[in-house]
Amino acid sequence: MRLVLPSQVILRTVAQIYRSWPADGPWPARVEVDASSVERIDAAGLQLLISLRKTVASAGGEAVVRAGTEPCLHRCREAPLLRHLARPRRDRIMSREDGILEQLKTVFLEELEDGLSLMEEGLLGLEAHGFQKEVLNSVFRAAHSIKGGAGTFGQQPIVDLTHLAETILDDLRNRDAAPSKEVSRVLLETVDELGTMASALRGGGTCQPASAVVTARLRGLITSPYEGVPKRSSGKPSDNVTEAPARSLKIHFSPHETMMRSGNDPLAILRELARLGTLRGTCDASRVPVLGELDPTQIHATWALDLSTSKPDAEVHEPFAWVEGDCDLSIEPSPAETPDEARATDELRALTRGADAASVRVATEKIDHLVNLVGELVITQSILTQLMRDPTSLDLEETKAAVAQLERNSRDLQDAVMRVRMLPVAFGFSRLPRLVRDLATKLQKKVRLETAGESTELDKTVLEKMADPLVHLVRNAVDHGVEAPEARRAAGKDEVGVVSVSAMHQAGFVVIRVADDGGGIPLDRIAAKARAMGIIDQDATPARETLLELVFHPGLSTAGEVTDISGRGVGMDVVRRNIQELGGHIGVESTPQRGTVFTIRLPLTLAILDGQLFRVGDATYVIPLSSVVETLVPDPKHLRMVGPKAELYKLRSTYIPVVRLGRRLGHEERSGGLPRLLLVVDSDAGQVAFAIDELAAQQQVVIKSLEKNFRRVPGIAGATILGNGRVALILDVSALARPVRADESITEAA
Amino acid sequence: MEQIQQSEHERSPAEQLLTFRLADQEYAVDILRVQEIRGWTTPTSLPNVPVWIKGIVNLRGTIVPIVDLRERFGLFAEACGATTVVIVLRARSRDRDRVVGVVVDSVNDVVRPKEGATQPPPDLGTVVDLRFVLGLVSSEERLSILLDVDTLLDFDTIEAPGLQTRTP
Repeated sequence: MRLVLPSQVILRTVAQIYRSWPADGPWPARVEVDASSVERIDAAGLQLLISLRKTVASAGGEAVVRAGTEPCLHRCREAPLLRHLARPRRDRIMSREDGILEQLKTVFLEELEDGLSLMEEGLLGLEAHGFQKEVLNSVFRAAHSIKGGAGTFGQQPIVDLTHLAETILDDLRNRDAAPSKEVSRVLLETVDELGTMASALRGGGTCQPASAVVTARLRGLITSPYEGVPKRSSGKPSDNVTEAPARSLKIHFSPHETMMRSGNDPLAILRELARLGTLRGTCDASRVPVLGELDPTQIHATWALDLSTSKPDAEVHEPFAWVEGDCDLSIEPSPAETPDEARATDELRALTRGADAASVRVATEKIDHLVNLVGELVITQSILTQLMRDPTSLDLEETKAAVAQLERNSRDLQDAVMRVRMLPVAFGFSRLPRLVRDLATKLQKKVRLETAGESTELDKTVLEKMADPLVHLVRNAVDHGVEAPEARRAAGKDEVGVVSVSAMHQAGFVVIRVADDGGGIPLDRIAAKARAMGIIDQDATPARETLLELVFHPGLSTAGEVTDISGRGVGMDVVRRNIQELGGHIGVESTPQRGTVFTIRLPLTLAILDGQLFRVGDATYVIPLSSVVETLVPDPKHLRMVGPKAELYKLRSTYIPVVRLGRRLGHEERSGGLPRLLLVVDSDAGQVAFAIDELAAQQQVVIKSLEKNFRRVPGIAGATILGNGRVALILDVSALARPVRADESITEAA
Repeated sequence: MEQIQQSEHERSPAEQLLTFRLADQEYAVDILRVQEIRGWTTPTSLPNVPVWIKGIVNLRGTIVPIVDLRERFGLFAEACGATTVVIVLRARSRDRDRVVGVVVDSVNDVVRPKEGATQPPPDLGTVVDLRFVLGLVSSEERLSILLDVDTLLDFDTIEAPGLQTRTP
């Protein structure tokens, strides 16, 4: 249902408008109020809109105001009544829309609006208190991130407009000056305009170009010199002798119900008040009745305001002069906040707003789930308390059952809490489409990016740390992997190369694959380069796996020339190290002419591991349960030596390498011979058998980092504290599975 | 195993030092760097680390490496037993703090050296690597070698070749 408002929504016309609406319903799920023609609106009009919202909401629907240019309707800073009106309810939108793109867009819009809020507050603060370096910086930063976010989402008009504002702010920053009144006004208009553009987006529309008027004003400021107000410390004496020092006043304004009938508009009064300083506050519109009971000529809203001003009391009372008998008014000095404190809290707020990198947005359903689980935990706990009431007559069976239940509750709670930190990988993929497009254009190749599994969830920290490696791998795929269109045509392939990035859950890991259908990794070139660098001997013929592994070797790049994109050979080893530091693996597979696939496995959570414990000598070690294939007592007939060092075991029909863990981990050398037990594990290098002495429990362990107080130790992924308080090492299966290299000794720094 | 907590001294912290004994020499560290003093627990040994790193222990849920100062200084190593003391120190490296335990023979007392009591170190010969020494402190007729906790416990610096690994 669409309701169109006329140009004047004021007391005079409100009754008419009211009569044209179906006050008693029925109201559909969505009511759109088209306010684009509105030129004037007063408190009566706004109250009508509030009443409408309430009415529609109580019928289970939602009323949305599509605003025009009337500032009051979307970002009016002088009329707190409105702010609450024009922003569509966020939680409703989140639950209605699925699809990752919508989720991302919502986050983008939320951040945009937060940024605009910040800019607005900051600009107002600068107007009121003069130059404050940190506030100006935070306004600039907010503009900058709005520009960046809009750029990522391809909203060019927002980018363009914000860029102009950013230019002015940057200039002010460099000159250590606060914006003058004129500049401030234009900047605030820009913020409003951005708000309108954002609202249009939020409503599902496309981004309209910015208002020509605002753009022209901004441009005008940039090209012609303008004044900034320098720091107060330059000691300008105050002209206005009667100006009192800036102070904070608390104002309660409750118009009587019939106040508007005498022609007085509370909004106009508030606008007057706002001219005297910085006005903030809330509107209590709870007493506004639903449409069916509303008398549109009566006003039911009250305001609680904070005014920070240096004007004398007489001037603050002035706006209320005409309505003194028609309202309850109290103006008092605000005890809690002095102007200095106000300034300090402004700055603090500006600062803390900027530093929200250490926070996570969590879907409410995850929190609800947590609340449920805690509820179940509490129930189990009370069962146990009940059972323990009389220890002498303890029912063992019931207690065991309750303890098992406790274990289940704990595990569920633990999983759920971990999930709170998880975000869909889509956030990590967000930069990639643009990257592929830009790079392909630059290199004159045709490349298409395909993504899959964007909704796969991953721990926030892991995701953040994976962002750069992903970019690096995709860059390589486009730069080195996919061939030029002519070469592809000649090889009988489609001109358009495909780079695919996918994510999925697999046995306690998240598997991310970056694949391209290009020419594959040129193994012979790698071998040649490696020989030239002395990494492999001149006459050695290394195995395919070894050559593939060399892709991760620092300094090795087979790019013919170093472009600014890649080719310096410093990338892949860093990528591998980053992934290993997260407790993951990266492997590569490649087929000449067909393409290359990088497979990254990352643990689902950073902190907890389902582990298999075992003993070698008198030390206990842990490996991820997910890497265990089987355990067996070795048959001496199947043990083979190959060369002086390598040992193989024949497992059914294949030979797998045997790793003498005791030796690798610095234990005393047992007298060779038959290992007591073989633990067959999966690693990046394929299946491998660890020689161990005894298998112990399977249990969850909390991963503690060695790097925190020490440094990374090759072969060790971390440590954990066992039930007996002792420390057990968590082994890096893939590192131990690889054959020992000469450089893996104590001289290897972190 | 005992655990003695070092309590906060009332006076100005920058000038207080904890002194301890190693072989026949007395050493000192800034009291602000001392977190606590513990008895000895057998650490879990780490593979492929320098011989002066005895391993890691569980300190109330945190993994803390244990450094044998005797071996670090290249002195004659002694077995660690029930009377061995571990001083848990906070070392600062580049961007973060580390908690590390060091094995010493015995802990002496907290001294408050007077102004100018600290002199730059002379050539101490082969006693201690000069990298680790901040100076010489004289207090109550005793001379202690003031150690630089941060360089002493800097694990990120690549060691000079020639150091032996832990031999099985």
